[in-house]
Amino acid sequence: MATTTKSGRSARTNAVITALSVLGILVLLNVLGLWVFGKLDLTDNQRYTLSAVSREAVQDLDSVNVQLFLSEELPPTLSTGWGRERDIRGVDREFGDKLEEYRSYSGGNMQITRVTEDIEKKAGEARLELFTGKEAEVEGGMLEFKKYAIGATFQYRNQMEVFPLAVEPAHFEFEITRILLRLKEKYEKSAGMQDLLDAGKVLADGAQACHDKLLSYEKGAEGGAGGLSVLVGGGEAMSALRLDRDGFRSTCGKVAAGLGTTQGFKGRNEYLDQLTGSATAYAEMVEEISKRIDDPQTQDRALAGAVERLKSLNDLVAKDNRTLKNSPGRKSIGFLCGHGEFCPFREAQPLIRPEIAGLMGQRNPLVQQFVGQAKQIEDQINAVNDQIRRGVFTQRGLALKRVNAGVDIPDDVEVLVVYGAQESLSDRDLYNLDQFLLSGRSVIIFLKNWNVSVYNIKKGGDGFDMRDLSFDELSRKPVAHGLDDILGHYGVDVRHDLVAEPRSFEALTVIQLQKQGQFTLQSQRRFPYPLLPTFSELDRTHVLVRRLASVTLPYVSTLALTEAASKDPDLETVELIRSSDGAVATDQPLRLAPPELLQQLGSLEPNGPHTVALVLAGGFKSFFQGKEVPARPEKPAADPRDPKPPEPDPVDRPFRDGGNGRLLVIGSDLGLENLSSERIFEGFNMGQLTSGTADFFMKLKDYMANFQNWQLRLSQISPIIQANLDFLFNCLDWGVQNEALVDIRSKGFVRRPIDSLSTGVRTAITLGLVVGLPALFILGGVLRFATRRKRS
Amino acid sequence: MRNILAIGRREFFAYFGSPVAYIAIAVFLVLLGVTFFFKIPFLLPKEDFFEAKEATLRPLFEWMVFLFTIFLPAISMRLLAEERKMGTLEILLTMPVTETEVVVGKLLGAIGFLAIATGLTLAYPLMVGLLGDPDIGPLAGGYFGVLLVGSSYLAVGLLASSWTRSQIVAFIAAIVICAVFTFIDRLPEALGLHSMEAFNMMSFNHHFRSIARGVIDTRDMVFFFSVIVGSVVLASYSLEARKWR
Repeated sequence: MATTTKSGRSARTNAVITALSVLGILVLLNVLGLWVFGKLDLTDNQRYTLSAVSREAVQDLDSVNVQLFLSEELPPTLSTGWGRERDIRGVDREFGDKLEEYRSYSGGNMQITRVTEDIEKKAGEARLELFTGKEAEVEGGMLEFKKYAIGATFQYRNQMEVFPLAVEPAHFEFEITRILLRLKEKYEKSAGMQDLLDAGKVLADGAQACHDKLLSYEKGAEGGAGGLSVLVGGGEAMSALRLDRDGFRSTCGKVAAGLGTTQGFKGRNEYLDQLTGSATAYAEMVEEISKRIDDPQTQDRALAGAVERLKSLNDLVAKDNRTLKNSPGRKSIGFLCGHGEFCPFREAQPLIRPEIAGLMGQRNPLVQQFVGQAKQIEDQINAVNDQIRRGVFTQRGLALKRVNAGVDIPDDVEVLVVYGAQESLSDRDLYNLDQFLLSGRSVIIFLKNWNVSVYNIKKGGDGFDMRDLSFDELSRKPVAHGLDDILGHYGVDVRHDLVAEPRSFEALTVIQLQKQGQFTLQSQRRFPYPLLPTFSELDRTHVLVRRLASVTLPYVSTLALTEAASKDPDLETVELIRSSDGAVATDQPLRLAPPELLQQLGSLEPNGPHTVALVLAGGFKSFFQGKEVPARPEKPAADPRDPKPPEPDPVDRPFRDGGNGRLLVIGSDLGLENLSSERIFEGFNMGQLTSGTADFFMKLKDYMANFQNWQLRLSQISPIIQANLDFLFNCLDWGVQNEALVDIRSKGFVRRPIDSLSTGVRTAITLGLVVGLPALFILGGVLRFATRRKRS
Repeated sequence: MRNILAIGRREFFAYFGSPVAYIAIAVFLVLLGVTFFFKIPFLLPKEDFFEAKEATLRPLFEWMVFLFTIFLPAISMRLLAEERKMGTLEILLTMPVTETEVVVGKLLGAIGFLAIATGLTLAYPLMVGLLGDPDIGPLAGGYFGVLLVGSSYLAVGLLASSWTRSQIVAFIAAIVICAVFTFIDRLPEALGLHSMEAFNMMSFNHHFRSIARGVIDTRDMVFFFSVIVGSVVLASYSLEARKWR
């Protein structure tokens, strides 16, 4: 049996102490490293390092207070809808680190306070976007899903901005810098409209004071009964209200008093006008409640109903006041609507007016059924457009504004977007566009020269059974948008062809139906599709594409600079995106089925390079020079039942025969298509409902197919649309002259595609690396052993 | 230093003195290729490289780290355990070298082997470079991260090898330790718990992912450095412990 000697014991003790000391130092180093650390960013775009614009933005603000809301026990994933989960592990650390990075460059201008108590409650009050996890907990006797917060508020003087949900590390820098720039701009611009903001504040404060007063009645009632219990006749709160009628009138009457001031500002600011509208409704409801209090016949239930309506009106007033407070310096992006453009707004008018639908439905049950179905589709259209506008644009801080056909473009619109027009623009619309461009602002035109349907649902047929669908519609129809002449005048020659890149293109996801016995199975397949070409020859001197690796433009057409434009010394022109030399542009009929298209394009001679996106900036001459100014379209006759007074005629602005502007033309709609009642209910008119036949009902199938085809086309190229969003946002930010932001955004995510390869090449590469490389290594070993054996 | 390099060189060439190293690396390359190029439902539920059409090697690096948890303990298991079993460790330590020099030298030899195995995968970035325009930063970061994780695994394997005469025991011990510290950041999720920063901080995977983005962060470097140094120190004292009896 081994024994341990004295010296052995001492050596062991020393060794253990030394080892523990070393391990202790290593642990300490790791802990210290959490506070003191440095980073070396090796990425091309310096994606993880603050850019000069961001550093300047934080240095420009003399005192920014950031409140950081990070829930303590975040779940590992966040649900992003459609059953998808997003990994958010470590995102809180990255967000905190990014803010720290800003603080370190702020020169003491930025203070960060981390909220540590009641985080989710305070985050909700600060208008952060809370998200729910999978864990539920019992809260006030109710089982509720736990809510979490990752975000921050930024306060600069009297201005506040919110980063509501920070889960996308790639966009942290863009969002934070956008907020810092916006804070400064908002503060500076608000100084010029302080009187309007103060007037709005009086209304919102008055409504809030009234709201608090109503809550005090509920809290004072026995058992703290309020809300629903009041509605179902709790009664004590209503008794308290009746007893304090004078207090109610004096507190809640402040809104009506405040309206006196805002009436004087009418027409000066559209957001204040909107707030005045909601505050007027609020004051009227206060008046109504006052009457009910005085009327002993009024039951508590009726009074409580009115109080609940007043409470919801308070939310509306508060929301409108927030919009007003946010409005200083806000630049709107105008989307022209009414010519089949992509126009993500709610429908201005319902397809069938409810009163007419009700009347006709009583006479004919088929009409009633049709109206119900049509309303459902219309609601879906509105919901999808709302989702796109809010989820894609508003969430990124872009303020979109609808510009209706024939209507003058509002003054606060900084950039006009004509997105994939499918019908001819009227002369008046072209005139508005022309004058807008010459006023020094930006016009962005996404052209849609072809309406391409690949494996869409075939319309027509007699049956009404939706199971009879066939996904075999293959068509390519030319679009007459009427923009060729005006663009030609500005210097852009629009060619109605389609461009294909033989080596670099994306895949199309196609739905296929397979009949198996009595069942029809639906499956998805992805086909390489050359009409979804990827361009990597971008003019990297231009901010729009400087940091993009490539852009995929679905169903794109060629553009060219006219000779006059290329020689015009006043005009700066940039060929933004070009195809490769091997590209093919053709206006010949194409076989659209994927394998046939590949074969057909393979037989065509390459005729590249082709320009597919152009920027023109500088002096333009009016397209309407020497022409008569087109008249405004006639206003529809006023509805005598509409209580609102008719809008006054707009004032004519002086004609500009020339001026500086910026024009961006892209030969594709990036895959975003129009979704509107007009498009889905193509060919529908009210007369059909009274024709006495059931034809209109049979058409319902086509309308449904139209809607499904819209969704289908979107899903066919959804990865491309997703990848193109950064380019689209760049275009819009360039339009509103936020070029600093363009540069940062593109740092976030750069898609770097690989060439499209034939199956043979793919197999060769796979075999080469999976089998060839190890085999070669083994062969090297065998040779080495053989040589050594020979030598020995 | 000369001693360390001499031991390292001897160890490195010892690997390639038998066909085992060639076979091991070839098997590693085949498995890596299969995991990178093929999509196998349930087993490898990922997007096919050619379908994804993205000029990135991020999946390759992630699979490399995964394969290393098995491959590198197999390489490191014999480093000290075999010497102990054969009795050659005593002979080695009668020479004018310290335990630390032996441990560091053997680790360097194994890292050399790792570098050869990793170097052979450079054919992949070459292929991606020919097909597209990859961002060099994440590629460089990915390789740097893979080498750091690999060296840490080898250091842990060396430590396990210093505890026992049995290569199998050393292999299993190293796999368990490496796997635990690689996937510990996923443990709370697997147990339905909240994400814990402490687990993240201890996870090889967590630090590797940070470097593979193309960002060399001192926190990640300190972590890997600590694992390697800690393992070397403990392995040295483990060898020294024979003198205490």
